[in-house]
Amino acid sequence: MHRGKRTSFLFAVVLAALSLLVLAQAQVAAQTLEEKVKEFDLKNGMKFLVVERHEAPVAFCAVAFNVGAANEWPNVTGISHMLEHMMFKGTEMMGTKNFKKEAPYFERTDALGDKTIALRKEMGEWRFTRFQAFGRQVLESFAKEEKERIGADKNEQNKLLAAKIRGMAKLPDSIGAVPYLVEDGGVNYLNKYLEYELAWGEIAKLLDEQRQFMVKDELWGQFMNNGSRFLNAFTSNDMTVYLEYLPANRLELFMVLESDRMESAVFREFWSERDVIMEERRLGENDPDEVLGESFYSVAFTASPYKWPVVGWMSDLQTIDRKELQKYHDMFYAPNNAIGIVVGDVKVEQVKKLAEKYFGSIPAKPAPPRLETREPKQGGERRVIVEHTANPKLMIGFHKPIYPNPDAAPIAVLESILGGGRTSRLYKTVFEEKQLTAEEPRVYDGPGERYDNLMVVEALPRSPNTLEDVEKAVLEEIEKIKKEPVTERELQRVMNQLDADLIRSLGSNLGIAFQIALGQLYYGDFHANFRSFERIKKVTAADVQRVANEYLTAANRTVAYRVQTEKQEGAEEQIDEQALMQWVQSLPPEEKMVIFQKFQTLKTQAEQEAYGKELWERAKAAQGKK
Amino acid sequence: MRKRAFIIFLVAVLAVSFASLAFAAKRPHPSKLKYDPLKMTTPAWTELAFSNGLTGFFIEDHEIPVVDIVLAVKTYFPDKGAYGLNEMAQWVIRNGGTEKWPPDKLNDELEFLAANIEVYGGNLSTMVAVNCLKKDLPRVLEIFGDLVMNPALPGDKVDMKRKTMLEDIRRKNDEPNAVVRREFAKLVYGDHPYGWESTTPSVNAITRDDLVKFHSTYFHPGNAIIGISGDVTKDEIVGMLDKAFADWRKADVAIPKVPDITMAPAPSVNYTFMDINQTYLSLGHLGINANNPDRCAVNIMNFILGGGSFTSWITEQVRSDEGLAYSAASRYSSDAFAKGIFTAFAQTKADATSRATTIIIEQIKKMRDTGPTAEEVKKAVDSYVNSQVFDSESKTQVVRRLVQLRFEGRPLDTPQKDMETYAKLTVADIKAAAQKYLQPDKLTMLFVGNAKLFDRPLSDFGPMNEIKLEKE
Repeated sequence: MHRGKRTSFLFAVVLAALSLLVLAQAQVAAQTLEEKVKEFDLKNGMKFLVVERHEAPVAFCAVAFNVGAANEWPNVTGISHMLEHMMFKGTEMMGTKNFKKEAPYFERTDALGDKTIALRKEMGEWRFTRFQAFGRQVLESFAKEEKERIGADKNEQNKLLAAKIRGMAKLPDSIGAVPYLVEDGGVNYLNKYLEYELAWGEIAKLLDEQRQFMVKDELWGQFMNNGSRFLNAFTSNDMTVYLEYLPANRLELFMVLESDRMESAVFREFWSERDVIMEERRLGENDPDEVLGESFYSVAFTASPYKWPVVGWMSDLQTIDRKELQKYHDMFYAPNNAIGIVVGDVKVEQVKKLAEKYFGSIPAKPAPPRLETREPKQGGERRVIVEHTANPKLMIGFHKPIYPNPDAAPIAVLESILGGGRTSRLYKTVFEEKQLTAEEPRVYDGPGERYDNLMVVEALPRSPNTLEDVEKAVLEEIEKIKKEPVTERELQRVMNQLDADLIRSLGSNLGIAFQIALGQLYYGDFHANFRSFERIKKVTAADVQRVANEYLTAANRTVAYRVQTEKQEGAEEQIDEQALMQWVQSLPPEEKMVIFQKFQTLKTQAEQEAYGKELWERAKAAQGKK
Repeated sequence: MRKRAFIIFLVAVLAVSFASLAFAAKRPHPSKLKYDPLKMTTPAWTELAFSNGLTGFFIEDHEIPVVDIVLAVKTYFPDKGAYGLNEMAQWVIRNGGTEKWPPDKLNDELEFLAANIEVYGGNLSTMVAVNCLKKDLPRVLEIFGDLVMNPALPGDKVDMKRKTMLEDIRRKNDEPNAVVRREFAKLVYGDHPYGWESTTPSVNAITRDDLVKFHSTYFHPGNAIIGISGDVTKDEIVGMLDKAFADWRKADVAIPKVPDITMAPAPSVNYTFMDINQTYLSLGHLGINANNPDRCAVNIMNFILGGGSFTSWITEQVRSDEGLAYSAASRYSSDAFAKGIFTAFAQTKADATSRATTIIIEQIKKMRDTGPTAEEVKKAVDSYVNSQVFDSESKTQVVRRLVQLRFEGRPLDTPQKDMETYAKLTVADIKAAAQKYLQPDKLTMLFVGNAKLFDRPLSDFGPMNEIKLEKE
């Protein structure tokens, strides 16, 4: 179900936890795993990492592309994630009954799709929103017989919509009376809106026709019917990963389907899948934690592309077309920009043979452009306020470097001492002793791991404690670490836990796969993980104190507050109609006339209700004065 | 002529060889792939029976030097006025420590050893889960035993948990997903305990004495099941557990029975306002009991309807064909003690609310009236049968499933028997299940969102009942 899952906060936390665990460890376990990894490169530059583990007849398989939201640029934010969705729409072999017959539809549909984008730009969003609301009203006003005749036929529906609007003797004032809305400088913008809706109708019609040649979700279906679990893909700031957990005898299925879509992906149903992606973005807009995180990162970073969300800005999602997506795909989806990972009940030789057979023939491409922009040094505290109906939440972030910068290791230790478990500083003081929060504050790296990122602390104040109370308490704990060295027992606890976690991860195919894949993708070499373990092992209390003083400063800090606004969901206020009428009656005659005239201009119920509310607010304010 | 024939022949041969060359470069369609048979083995397990009445399961596993233990205790406590007792007791048992192991000392010891002991569960059971390195096993088992037998349940931790639970209640309407799930369960289960939730009065009503009583009533060896997997032999672990639980004495425990659900599904249209730009909608009714003999057919039916992700009807129509939602699916759950829940759900843009609902209802009706094709049934069954290998992927997973089956009082070979049933299912079975277990005319519907933005009034679907979220 979670195909197209992008990096959520939860996922960011998991990644952070995993990479922290990657960043340290029992030498013994690390060596065992490092020795177990078999690595080979195909001639086209694609690397494979394979670990044989014969505990159960299953194999975890993945293809990871070295591209994520951090590789994007303005106008195309969210395109990595969009591409991930479209990679499930089949290929020249999968998802089609006859690709040749299908092919002409793409060009025709794209022309119409591009036309909708152009028309919407010409109208401008302010016009488009008003026209769209108007269009919806007209749709609702269709007679019952008309609705029955149309059914689900969007083309017929939009044709009737355009005919009705064009046939109107007079436009309602909500449209006709608004200056510059319908006409400006001799251009009729309402006409453009109707053309826009007609184009969408035609797109729907073409897609219906094209469907006779399509096999819906065949790629997905093949994996499912063959018993795949964890069938999924995700896009993060740093990478895009396609994964399938399969019965071990289905290794060849993985090789065929993943190599096929690497070479000949076909972005079917682009124009409707775009809507699904926008719905995914709206899900985030309705999730108060995502709303806060989006503002927090967009302020904490100025230059780094970590400033925009993986799902992208809505305005970009509205203007990316299929050609743009294809260009992006061609730039980054190359065998030399991807790794294959297979962990489980397989033989390395068999993996190699199949990889050469199916992936080996895919031509290499020029090396994709790499990100050179780096975040400049922050020169003072940044503060963000997000207003929301949800209860308050706090995020504090400090800029910090990543491996191979030598400060990364002591910072990882510091994070664990601050927020890792029931003996951590924030758990013991902020949550347990002072009881300021709803749960223990969390400490993690965000939002990515490939470029310099943030150490993030997040906490939920427990009412009646305030965001200020919690912020103060967290910062006090940070000051303590700056002043006094952490204890040897705390240090040892961190080392012991990282050791044990590495050992535990060896007991699962997924645990192993993530360890080696993340190292390869973040640092370009999975061995680098194991080198970073050694560094962590050498971290001293003085190192921790030094990095705390260097990085956890006010000038390097971004603080975000989600404050709760008065309007609690569900508590939509009922207007006391009697009291409102009494108030109106009490007004001087000229004011009564103004209100009466205003009501005359309001055509829709929604407008009338909105004005009623406005009056009610005035009535309450007047009563308050008495 | 001859020469010409030869040339034609040559061209034909060349064409064939080019074609085959071209073909060789392409990949075979997956339907052409042949797979070696899979060697599937379920790890052998041993049943454990201790003299004090504790029973359980054990699997030896020497892959990594780690031992995993779970102790499941039946703790069903049907008191609506003190709802939340399970959650509070579970937290305080773990975080309140014992006389010998006060919280700070306990946490310091466990975290220094990188060992985990966690206590969690729902309202029917309390689980105590242990995971540690083999070398620390005796030490960790000592703490584990003390925590299970002698939790201190200190008053200050009761107060602390009470405060955080009250904060959770304050935050319960922050996120629409949580609202739709909770309110839908309340609608479907009515006043059955499965429809209850913690409230400010119920959380305030819980006393430390209730926790003491909770522990002394339920925490007895005969009322618990233990599951162990990991790097230890049976003799070793039995010896260590005997020692750690030497003082755990037999006692009679009477667990109340989860009441049957007497409520009959009836159609209703419910609406909850939230100021959001999508509608979180849920349609459904009561599900089945886990022992229902038709459970496999119901699972396959639901897989095709909306449980099988992209190849299922609801997801395909609502998401993939029309682009109305990111998430659209159905779930048909079973429950070992009462009944599960059937729900078809979506999160759709507000102005597609009615459209998405109509499509979903059409799919449910189609499943009941027409049913799936033989090919759809075959694919769904293939998916179940081929993925069964994942049910025994790890030894810990196998042990935990055995504990669960025993806890639910179901035969231990249920998964194997179910797999035999799946393999034999026919289209007629699935159609019969749809007829019997789907009730499209009696759907409970819930819409969470902003009705002003909907494409059609909800009254299209029936008389509307508004549920206001209480502010606590």
